[in-house]
Amino acid sequence: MIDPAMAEDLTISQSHSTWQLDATLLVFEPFRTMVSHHLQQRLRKLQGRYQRNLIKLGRLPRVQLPLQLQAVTELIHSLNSLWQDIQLVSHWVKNDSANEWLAAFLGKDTTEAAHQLAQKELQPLLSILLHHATIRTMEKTAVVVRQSEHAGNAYLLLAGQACALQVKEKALFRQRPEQHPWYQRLKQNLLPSQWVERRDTRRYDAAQQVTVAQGRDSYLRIPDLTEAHQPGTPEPKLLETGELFGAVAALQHSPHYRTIVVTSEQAILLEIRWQGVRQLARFDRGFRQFLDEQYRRHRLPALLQQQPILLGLNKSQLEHLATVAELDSYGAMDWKSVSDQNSDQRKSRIEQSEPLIIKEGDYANAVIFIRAGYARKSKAYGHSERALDYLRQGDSYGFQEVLGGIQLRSQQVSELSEAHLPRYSCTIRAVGYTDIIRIPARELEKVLAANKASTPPEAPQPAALPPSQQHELLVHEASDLLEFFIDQRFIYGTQTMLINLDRCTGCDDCVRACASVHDQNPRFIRHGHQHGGFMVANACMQCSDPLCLDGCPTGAIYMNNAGTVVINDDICVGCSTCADNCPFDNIQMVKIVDEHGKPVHANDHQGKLVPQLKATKCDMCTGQLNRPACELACPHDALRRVDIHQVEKIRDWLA
Amino acid sequence: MNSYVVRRRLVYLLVLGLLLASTLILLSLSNLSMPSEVYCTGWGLLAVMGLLVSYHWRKKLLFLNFGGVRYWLRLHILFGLYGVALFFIHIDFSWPKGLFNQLIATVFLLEVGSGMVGLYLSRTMPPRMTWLGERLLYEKMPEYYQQLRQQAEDLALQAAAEHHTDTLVKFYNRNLQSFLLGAANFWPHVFNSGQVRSRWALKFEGLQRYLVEDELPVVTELRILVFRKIELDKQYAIQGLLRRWLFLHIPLAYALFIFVLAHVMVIHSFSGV
Repeated sequence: MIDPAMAEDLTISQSHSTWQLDATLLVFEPFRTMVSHHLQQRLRKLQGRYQRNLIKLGRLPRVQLPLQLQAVTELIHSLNSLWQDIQLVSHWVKNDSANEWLAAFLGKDTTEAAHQLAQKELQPLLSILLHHATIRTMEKTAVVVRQSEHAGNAYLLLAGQACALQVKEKALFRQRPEQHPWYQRLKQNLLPSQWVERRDTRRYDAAQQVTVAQGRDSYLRIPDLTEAHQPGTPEPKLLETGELFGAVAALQHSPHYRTIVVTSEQAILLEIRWQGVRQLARFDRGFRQFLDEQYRRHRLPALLQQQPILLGLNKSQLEHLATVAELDSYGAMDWKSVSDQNSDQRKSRIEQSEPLIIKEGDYANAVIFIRAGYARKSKAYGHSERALDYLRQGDSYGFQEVLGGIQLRSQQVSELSEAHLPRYSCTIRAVGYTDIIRIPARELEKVLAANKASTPPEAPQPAALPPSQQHELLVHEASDLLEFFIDQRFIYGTQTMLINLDRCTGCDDCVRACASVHDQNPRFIRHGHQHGGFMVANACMQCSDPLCLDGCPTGAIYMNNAGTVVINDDICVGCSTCADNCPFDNIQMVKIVDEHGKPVHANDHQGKLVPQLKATKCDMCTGQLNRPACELACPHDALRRVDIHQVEKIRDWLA
Repeated sequence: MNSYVVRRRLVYLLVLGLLLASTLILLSLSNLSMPSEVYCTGWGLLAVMGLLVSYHWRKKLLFLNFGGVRYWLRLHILFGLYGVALFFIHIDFSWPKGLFNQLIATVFLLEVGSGMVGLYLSRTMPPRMTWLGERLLYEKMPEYYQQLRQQAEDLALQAAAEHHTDTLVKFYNRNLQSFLLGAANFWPHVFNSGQVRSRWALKFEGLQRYLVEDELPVVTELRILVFRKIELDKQYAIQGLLRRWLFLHIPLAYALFIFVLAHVMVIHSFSGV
């Protein structure tokens, strides 16, 4: 919470100055704690080195470093700019007159050195905030985050008030796309409009009442919260200044539980992108622990409950597993696909770009679950590794191996040699970024032993391979396909458009069909990455973890209940955030025309009239009676929307 | 060919055989006189033709929940083959008399022929294109031709400026300019002839003796451009053919349908059946 005295002095400039931004941040938890923790860690290290040096010199340290920051309240008084922060930290160090160790260690002017030290230590935080955070001002009734929207950002309420509640879907403009009557669809098919991207602009009138269009700073409003509140859901919860929300969801890219609406006349928020949240968690262990704790408490038991291998465990057992589970992160947030297939280079590339989570042949001491991101499952093959499968959110690995070990011990084999130890049969590597949950085998064993009712699956028989390995053998032939999909990151897709080039005659019936149901403008390009006899066309793949949803200011792009990412044209402000975020360039910004074919214009930031843009993408023909028109229209069965996870089906279809 | 495709084709043959057998059995059991039999097969043929034409409309009316177009194409082929058999039963396996009837029969056979050719092309040409490299968009090909031409022209002019000889420019003007202007050698590429490539290889070999050694790298680059142009021509020819056969098949289908309607009216008016 902010100090009331400080709040009066605190002026948040709209100039978005990084220095001022950081000065503001330090007033709030958890950033203040973060800086404090980080400095303490650094100082502990310095002290350790100093003590070792003194011991080497045959002397004992005379002064113990104060490990708790005592000057946080003093800190707050002088926080109006970053320089003041740094000065304050240096002031704290300087005022510690008994700080001989620092003087001895630095061997020069303490103030200057401390100043540099503080600056250096704050630099990573500054850098993260500079790249991933921004201050946003929102008026009363503005929607900050929307329920069941994939979290892309976390928010820190710097000033003002907000409330968290569940609202009706209608209030968020998430009406199910209306089904046109049959005669309108007939007309659409037989007498297509002569205008491309024609819109009924009257539809926008209602949306304009509740949309504040300011480019990427746009937002949606809910004018009447009482009416919008979903009956039968918990009462709205008030959020005060200094509250951080959405961080756990952003870290995991999982949906928000509730909608958060500004209730004060104005609210100032610090918006931190999910990449920033991840980096902050890496920067500060305390922050990481805070987020992990939240995750363990609110989300992990539910995730474990969904695991088929843990079915039958009671609530307390699941909570116990959640407590002992280790949470880890691997990989980089920003990925870049590399298409080099040369085996030697490929090996080094995989080793460099895909951090190792589990190594084939290592002692199987834990079961892992993927909580966010993707992982490659592979086996050693020649001088490299050959992909057998990939894991995505909710998938697990290592259970068979761990179970084998448990059963081996239960059989009380007289002499357990090295060869009897259960070992992982595959290598698991992070693809892009991967967050995992690791449950130690011994804890799992305890829980399974205590819970006789939930008998674990049958042990692998010596004669028959466990199902996972049978699956591995089946997909072995499809490995080349998998390698391609993983390397190019097509594994993100759940409805990837594949074109079998051995069947495609290029008749363009798919393109025409798409255009006929989408304002005479097809939502895909029949062109894309080609691999052997098939092509992955430039069409939205309906990613399971869609990046395009991040940062949409009005929530116009969202994932519906069927897992399809759709754009609500009415509240799309044309900021192109989604198009910029899509790593596959599958979202196009288009200029629209009104009913008479006249271009529609809107005012930009400077009040100039500019063509109104709208984001368009494949929506799997949501609102149409049939399956995607493209797939339906293909006469040669050359085009299919596929889930890459079903690689065997794809292989059979391509054969 | 995988086992699924083989099984599917066997099922089609079986269904076709059953259809034909049941038609023949029905006709023999009904013990109709010759004119009545022709009358029945004629109406049957018209119904089949209606079904065949409906495939085209199915493609247009996609919003109707009548199954994927791929199933309709299979039905289209199946009933097309059945229609051919029915047609020969209808004309009693003899060439019809009368100019109008002969016209209908000719158009019908042309329609069947174009359909067969189309089926053959749509099954054989796509795999050929797959191995030509990246599948290019037909509509964008003029753009690629333009780029190739520009590159070749720049190379020739650059060589002339650097080496103060006009041999390459002359070669470009005489041989390459018209070749690079647009698509060429449509039929040789359709029939997968290697002649074009060999001919150009010979031309380049012949050219080399008139050049200084410094110009040879330019010739190599020009040769690469020409071979890329040949690959492009192949794609253009195949994709063009896959589109053009429909310009014969669909108008013939509608013409045939109109002729058949006229034929039905004439029969009903004058045959006395």
